[in-house]
Amino acid sequence: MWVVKAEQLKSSYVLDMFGTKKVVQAVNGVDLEIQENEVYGIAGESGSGKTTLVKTLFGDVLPPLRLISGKVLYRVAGQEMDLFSLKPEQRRPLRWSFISYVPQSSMSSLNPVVKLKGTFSDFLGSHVAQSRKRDMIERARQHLMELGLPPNVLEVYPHQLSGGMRQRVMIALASFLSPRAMIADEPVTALDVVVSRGVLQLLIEVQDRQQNALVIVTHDMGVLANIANRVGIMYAGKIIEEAKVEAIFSQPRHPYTQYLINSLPKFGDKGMRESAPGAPPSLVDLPNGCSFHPRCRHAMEKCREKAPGLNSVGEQHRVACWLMEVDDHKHHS
Amino acid sequence: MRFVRRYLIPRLIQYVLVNILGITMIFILPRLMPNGPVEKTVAQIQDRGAYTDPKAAEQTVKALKELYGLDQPLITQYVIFWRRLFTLDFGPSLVSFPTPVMTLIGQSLPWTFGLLFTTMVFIFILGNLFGGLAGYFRQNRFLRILDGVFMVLAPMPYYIIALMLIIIFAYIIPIFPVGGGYTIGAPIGFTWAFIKDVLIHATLPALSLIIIGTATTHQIMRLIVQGVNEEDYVRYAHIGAVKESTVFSRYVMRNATLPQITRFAMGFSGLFSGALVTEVIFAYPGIGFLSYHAILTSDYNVLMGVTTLSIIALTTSTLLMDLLNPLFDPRIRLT
Ligand SMILES: Nc1ncnc2c1ncn2[C@@H]1O[C@H](COP(=O)(O)OP(=O)(O)OP(=O)(O)O)[C@@H](O)[C@H]1O
Ligand code: SF4
Ligand SMILES: [Mg+2]
Repeated sequence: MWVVKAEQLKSSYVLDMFGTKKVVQAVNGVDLEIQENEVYGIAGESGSGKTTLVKTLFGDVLPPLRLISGKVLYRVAGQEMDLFSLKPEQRRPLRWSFISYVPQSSMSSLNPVVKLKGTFSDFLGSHVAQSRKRDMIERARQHLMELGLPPNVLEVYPHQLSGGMRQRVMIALASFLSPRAMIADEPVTALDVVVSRGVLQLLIEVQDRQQNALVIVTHDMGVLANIANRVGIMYAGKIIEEAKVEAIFSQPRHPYTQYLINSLPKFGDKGMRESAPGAPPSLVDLPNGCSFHPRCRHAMEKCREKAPGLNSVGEQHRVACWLMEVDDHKHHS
Repeated sequence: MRFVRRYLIPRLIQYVLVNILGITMIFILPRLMPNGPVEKTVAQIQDRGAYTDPKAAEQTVKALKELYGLDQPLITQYVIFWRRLFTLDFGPSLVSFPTPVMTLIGQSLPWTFGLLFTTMVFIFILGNLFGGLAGYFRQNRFLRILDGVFMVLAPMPYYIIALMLIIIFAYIIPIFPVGGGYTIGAPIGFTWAFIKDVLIHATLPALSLIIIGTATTHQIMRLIVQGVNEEDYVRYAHIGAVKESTVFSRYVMRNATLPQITRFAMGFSGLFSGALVTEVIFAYPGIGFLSYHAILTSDYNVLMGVTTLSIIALTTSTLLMDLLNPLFDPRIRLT
C-alpha cells in the first residue's frame, strides 16, 4: 500500500530576471507511489530535479519554487490527504510525525549556537504533549541509545561532532517520532566512503525497525545497488524509468539508464566506459518531445515530436521511451 | 586549557604589543617635528602680543625643556615617558595651568561615559530588536513603515539631526536646555534636583545619538537577519515545523546578534575620543569637548593625555570583545 503518492506533479522555479520571467521546469510531470516498508531510491544527474521533487513531496514549496499542477497524497492513519489542499496549520503537525527529512548538509542544518538537546526539543516540542515534554530529553537519550549512538551527544554543540556522527544524529532526529515516511536527500554525499557506509547502515536499520518508507536521493548508483528496493531514474524533471533495483542494474530499458549503468566502473575494468554524449538539457528551454532525444542514439522522428509516457513494460517496471512501443508491436505481430 | 593557550594568550600578547607600539608612536611623533611643543608654546605666548626679548624666549625654551626633561638623551626621555604614563601623569594643562591634565580628564570622563554608555545600550536593544523583526517579518506593515523612517534617517548627517532637535525642543517648544551638562551655578551633588537637572540636559544629546545609532544599527541588523534567514539551519527549522517564535528567537536572533555584540564592544573605544560632534554642538562637558578646546588652544599636554588614553581604550575594547565573544559563541569557546 502506498504511503506517499504523486500524481502528474509539476513544480517550477519562477524567477524574475530583470523583468523577464524565467521558468525552470524542475519537476515536470512525475507519477510516483512510495510504498509502505520500502527503500525507494531516486537517481539522476546533477540538476535533473531530484531535490526539487523531494521538496515538493515534502510540501516545502516556497518561492521561487511553485506548484504548477498535480497532487501529492499522503496516507495518514489509513486516511488519504491531499497535501496541497491542507491549510498550513493542518500541514505542520504532519512534519516529523508522519513525514520527516534528513538534509544533505548536517553541519549547516543544525543551529550552531544551540546544544543538540535544544535542537531536539525545538523540533519535537510541538508534537509532544505539554505534560510529557519534561521527559522528552530522556526519551531522546533512549532513542539515541537504541540506534547505538552515545546519548551524551545531546550535551554538545554541532561543531563538536564529526561529520558522520552529526549525520547520524540527524537521522535520530528524523526518526524520533517513527514517521511513516522519511526522505533523505544525498545523506552521505559530503562524507567519505567508510563513514558513509556506517551512516547508510543506520538509515537502513532505522527503516527496518520502524517499517516505514524511506526515500533516498543520490547520484551514486553504487549506494542504491546496496540499499534500495526500487529505483526511479530522473532525467530533466521526469522519472524516465522505474523498476526493482535488480532489474535496473541487470535489464535497464531506457537508453539513458543504459548509459548510466554502463558508465559504472566494474571490477577488472580497463578502458573508459561509455557515458551519455552531450550535456543535460536546460530546464528553462526543454527540447520538444522526449527530453533525451538530442543525446539519444536511437532517436526517431516520433521522439522529436511527442514525449513518451511512463508505461509499464513488465512487473513493477515502467519506462518512458518510444522504443518500448516498437518492441511491443514486434511482440504482437 | 587549549582555549587559554590558543585563544587567550595570543590575544593578551597582541594587546600588550599594540599598546606599546601605539604609545611609542605618541612619544616619537612630536619629537620628529622641527618645532616641538615647547617652541610652539613659547611662540604662542609671543603671538598673544606680549613682547619678549628673543634671548628671554630662548631661555624660556631652555627652561621648559629642562623642566620636561627634553634636554636629556632620547632613551632617558623614553624611560621617563613610560614611568609617567604608569602613574597617569600627563603634566599640567598648558592652558588651564597648573591644573593637571588628569584632573581635567577625570572631570570630563563621567559625562562622556554616562552619555555613551546609556545611548549604546538603548541603541543596541532598539536597533537590534526592530532590525531583527524587520528582517524576519518582512510583510508586517508597521515594521515596513518603521524601516522606511530609519532608511531616511540613517544616511542623514548627524549634525542636522542634532541641530533639528535643538531647534524643535529648545527653541520652538523650549522644554529642554540648549546645551551644557547642568545648569551653571547649581549646587553639584547627589541630590535629586541635581540628578534631574543632569538628565534633562542629557536628553537632547542622548536622543540625537540614539536616533542616528538606532537607525544605522537597524539597517545593519535587518541585512544580517535577511542573510541568516537563508541559512540552512533556519530553513531546516521551518521544514521541521519548529514554532515560529522559537525560530525567530533561538535560530535567527541568537545567530544574528553575534556580530552586533562585537560592534557594541567596539563602541567603548570611543570613550576617550568622546562623542566629539555631539559634545561640541550641545556644549556637553565631556572628553570630546575637552579635546576640541585642547586642539583650538594647542594644549599639547591635554591632547597627549587624551590620545594616549584613547589608544588604550581602543585596544582594551578590542580585547574585551575578544574575551566576550566566546561567552556567546560556542564555536569559539570550544575549539
Ligand atoms: N532556488 C532555486 N532557484 C532557481 N533555480 C533552482 C533553484 N534550486 C534549483 N534550481 C534549478 O532547478 C533545477 C533542478 O535542481 P535540483 O536541485 O532539484 O537538482 P538535483 O537533481 O537535486 O541536483 P543535484 O544532484 O546537484 O543536487 C536545476 O536546474 C537548478 O538549477
Ligand atoms: S523516446 Fe526516443 S529519444 Fe527518448 S529515449 Fe526513447 S528512443 Fe531515445
Ligand atoms: Mg539535489
